[in-house]
Amino acid sequence: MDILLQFFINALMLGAIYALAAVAYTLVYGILEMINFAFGELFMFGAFLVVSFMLPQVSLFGVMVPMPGLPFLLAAPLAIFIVAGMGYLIERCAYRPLRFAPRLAPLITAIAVSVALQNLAQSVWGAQELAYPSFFLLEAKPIQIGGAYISMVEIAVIVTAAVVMTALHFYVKKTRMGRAMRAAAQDVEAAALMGIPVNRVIAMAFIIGSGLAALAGIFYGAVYLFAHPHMGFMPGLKAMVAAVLGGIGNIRGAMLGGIVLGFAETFGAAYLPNGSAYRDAIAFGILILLLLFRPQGLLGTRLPNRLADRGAMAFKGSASAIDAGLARLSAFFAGRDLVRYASWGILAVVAVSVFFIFPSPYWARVFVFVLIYALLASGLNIVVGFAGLLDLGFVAFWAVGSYFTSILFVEVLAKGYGVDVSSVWWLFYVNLLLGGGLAALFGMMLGYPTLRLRGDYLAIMTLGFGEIIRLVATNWVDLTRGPMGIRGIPVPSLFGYKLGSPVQLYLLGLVLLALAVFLIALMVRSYLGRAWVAIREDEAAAEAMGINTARYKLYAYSAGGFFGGVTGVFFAHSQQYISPLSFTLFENILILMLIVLGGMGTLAGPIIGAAIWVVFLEVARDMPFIQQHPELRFMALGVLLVVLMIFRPQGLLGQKRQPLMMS
Amino acid sequence: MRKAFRYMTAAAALAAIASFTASAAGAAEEVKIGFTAALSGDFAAYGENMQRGLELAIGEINAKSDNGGITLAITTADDRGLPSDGVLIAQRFCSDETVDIVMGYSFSSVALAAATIINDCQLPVLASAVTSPDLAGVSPYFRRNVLTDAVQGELAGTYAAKVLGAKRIAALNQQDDYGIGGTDAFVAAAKAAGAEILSREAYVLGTKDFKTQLTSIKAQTPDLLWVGGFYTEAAKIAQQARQIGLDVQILGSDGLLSPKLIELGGASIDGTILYGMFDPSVAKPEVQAFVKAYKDKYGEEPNAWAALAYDAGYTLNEAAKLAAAKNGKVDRVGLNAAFAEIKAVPGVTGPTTFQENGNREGTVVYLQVKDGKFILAPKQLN
Repeated sequence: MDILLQFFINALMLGAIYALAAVAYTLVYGILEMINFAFGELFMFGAFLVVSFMLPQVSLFGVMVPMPGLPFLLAAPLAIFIVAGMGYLIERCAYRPLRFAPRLAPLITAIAVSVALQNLAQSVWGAQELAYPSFFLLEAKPIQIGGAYISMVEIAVIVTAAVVMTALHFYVKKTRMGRAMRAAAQDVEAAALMGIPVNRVIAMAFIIGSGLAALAGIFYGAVYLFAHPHMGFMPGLKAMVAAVLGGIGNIRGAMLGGIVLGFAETFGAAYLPNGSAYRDAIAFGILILLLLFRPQGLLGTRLPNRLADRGAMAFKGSASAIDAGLARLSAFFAGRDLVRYASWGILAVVAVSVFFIFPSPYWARVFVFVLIYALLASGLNIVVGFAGLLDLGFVAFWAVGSYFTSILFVEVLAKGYGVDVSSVWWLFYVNLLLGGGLAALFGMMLGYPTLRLRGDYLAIMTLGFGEIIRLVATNWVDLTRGPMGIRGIPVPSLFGYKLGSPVQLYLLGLVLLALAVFLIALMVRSYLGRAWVAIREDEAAAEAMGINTARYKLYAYSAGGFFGGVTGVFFAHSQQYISPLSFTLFENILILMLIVLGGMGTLAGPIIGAAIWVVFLEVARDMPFIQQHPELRFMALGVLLVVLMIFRPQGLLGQKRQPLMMS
Repeated sequence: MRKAFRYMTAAAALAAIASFTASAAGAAEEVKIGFTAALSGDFAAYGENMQRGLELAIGEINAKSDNGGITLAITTADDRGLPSDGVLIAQRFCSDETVDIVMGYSFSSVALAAATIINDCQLPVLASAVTSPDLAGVSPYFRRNVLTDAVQGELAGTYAAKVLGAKRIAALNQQDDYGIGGTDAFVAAAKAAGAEILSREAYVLGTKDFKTQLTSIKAQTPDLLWVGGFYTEAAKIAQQARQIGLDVQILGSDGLLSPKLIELGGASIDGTILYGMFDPSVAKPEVQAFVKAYKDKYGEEPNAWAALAYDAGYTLNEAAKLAAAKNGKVDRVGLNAAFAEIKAVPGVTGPTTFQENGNREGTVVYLQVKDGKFILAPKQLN
């Protein structure tokens, strides 16, 4: 009984924190139908600011700076105030210019903002955890109820969360601004016509949401007694899941979702077999089940697919000076034909790389990675760029391909049956297809339940799927050797001739990439590709034109998954070692950013994006400044992406994204 | 005239510089370290500790007037904790002829991914935080100055049952090679010494909430809680155990050995026993000097990561001096041979000698947190 009561207390506290942050997501989503990924980072800033204000001195950018040493009750409101201001600024600078952009644009921008903020925090506060200074709530003795304990902080968290959320509920119900918010949530344009200052309403939603996120972060820090640059990432995702769980856009739903998630996680970790290792997967598992059976969430109402009137990525020409300049540059590549354009892209990469790869195995190895990322980005581009579906679980396909071939070669053949793997060299080539096929199958499985969902639900669902695969790879030690990884994967060979040197791997990769681009080009130029683009540009119209959108979305997932799987097989054999560390959500975000960088929905874009980024990463290693602050590279990428989304959403060399055979 | 004068001074200055470098070059041999570890991302802190420890050692060594003409230089590459970056960086160091040795590595999986490449180009490695048994004998060029988790865990298991007299043990381990390997060995040794293992649960590095696991553990009424993991999580485990009224002796692995453990854990961590190769409390002058120099330079106390990297710097210096004395120069192969020969290089983590498979010989000391400080635990394993 004591144990149950203790679980109950733990769950309620965790749920209250999730609920607070979930309300932030839901508030903004309700009006803008946009998932502001950056709330996770604002959550983190809340905790860091409070800790900084409460300490007598703090190391900022590696320099000790004296701090006021404020009491908690002053520091907390101040931190919330500042974070709310940050939220306002982010909305004003990064999101507002994209208000009427295609719906993928703000979503990708939000991810980029989140990456930039996270790495900024690491530059400012360093990579170490900062201890939470003690204050009156922490010093108070916990209350004992039977054998269970509840601390003062936990009571404060639960009570404050309840009060704040009740207040918010009445604010939205009763006040003028609240009514304006609800009106905007009904229909932004109609609200504007009725004289509601929509910009102010949206700004207010961001301010309140950011404040709530900061409050949640402050509490989270106080309960677990720390602040860290990456502390907001997971709770942010969970809060997002909680918001979806309750029915996104619904404030009461978000509260309920948070609490449900808190309970599911606590009791799941306690009672499921190996539950504590899988606890992060519990949230995503529930999410997937929910989206399967009740996609509108617990308290949500089924909404008409209002977003369909805005295409996923249909950019209407943004005329700017940069645009004109780059257009001229692009004109150099000439050739309206998508395929010719792509071959130019590949040729450019090859032409540049030959000068490096032969003299230096190091540069050859770098370009092997360019090829791997180019392959991954090309695969993801089918889903994101052509079909206009955001996929945050793409690394899972990569992982499936990698693990399939590694387990088969090392664990089954070499260890299980004692086969000399060099005698079955041909299996590598078979595995390229099988691994790709298996990943495509996973793509189907992933795609099927998401068919009914709108773009942003889908993004979260794929994210959950990706995380689950990674957690399984980490925790199912008997199958995957878990975090130890699988080593001794043979290098590719041809009739017993090993293709293990960097240059040989490069050439092999190049063949794969050329084949992949060729296949993708074939698909894109066929009826299939036209259907994808139609869905991307306007799903409702596509449906009306008789395209079975569900089926074509599924094809997009499996086609993307296929190339992810193929890349995985090649990756495993070229690296000869794999571990779950390679298949993180951050890698997925990175690949997505590379596509945006190069140009979504083009064949050359992913290749160019991958080449620019991987080469930049390596060149940047020599810069002394980067040696001291390596995280700045990712911050720079985040900022670049935000700027790109606002001023040149079609990517660096995206020319005009091809209208595809319509001309 | 004036112009001529200016040329003359310039020429004189150039000549002076030239003669200076020439005189230095006569005996000087620069040994370049390629340092790699996770320096960005979630777990950048551990890599940063190592970088600091190593850079401190390099600074001290280069300041020596008489070091057999050896100077150390460092080039740094962030591997983000990703095996794929480890491969790239390994190739980078291999191709860079000026790099004589690779040091660092904060994750075993990154070192494992890099091992084949580094072996092919005969580049010696001296790692200082990777404990996976898989790395033993992975290459004749691979060495580490940290004990494998199997050795550590076994010692700790015996210590728990025999010295601390634990009968009922609950175990928590970090879900990675370090935590699993160490805890496997710990559990086996503790069982062999007669203790009962009540439960064993894994958590992912970066976990914040342990209350659920601790609540279950509390119900099992253990007399010892083993934590095979790092200080960040251990601090939270100790705090949350106290919050739910679980009062149990905690025994931790050497990943706990960091002043941050005490800073993050506060009063809750008091009484925790852990082991490590580095004892910051010991009154040995070289340890005291290291702790002071580290604190002066970085404004924080060193932890096990920093201490091991610091010692690795000095071990490299010894090997480089030996190689230079033997061959007149320091190159990769010569350096590797020298590593096999050096014996008992003194350091803040005790003397360093390498076994044939690249592992280090050595043992651990048991420490206890007392009043916000690490002290030598009253009971040691003999």
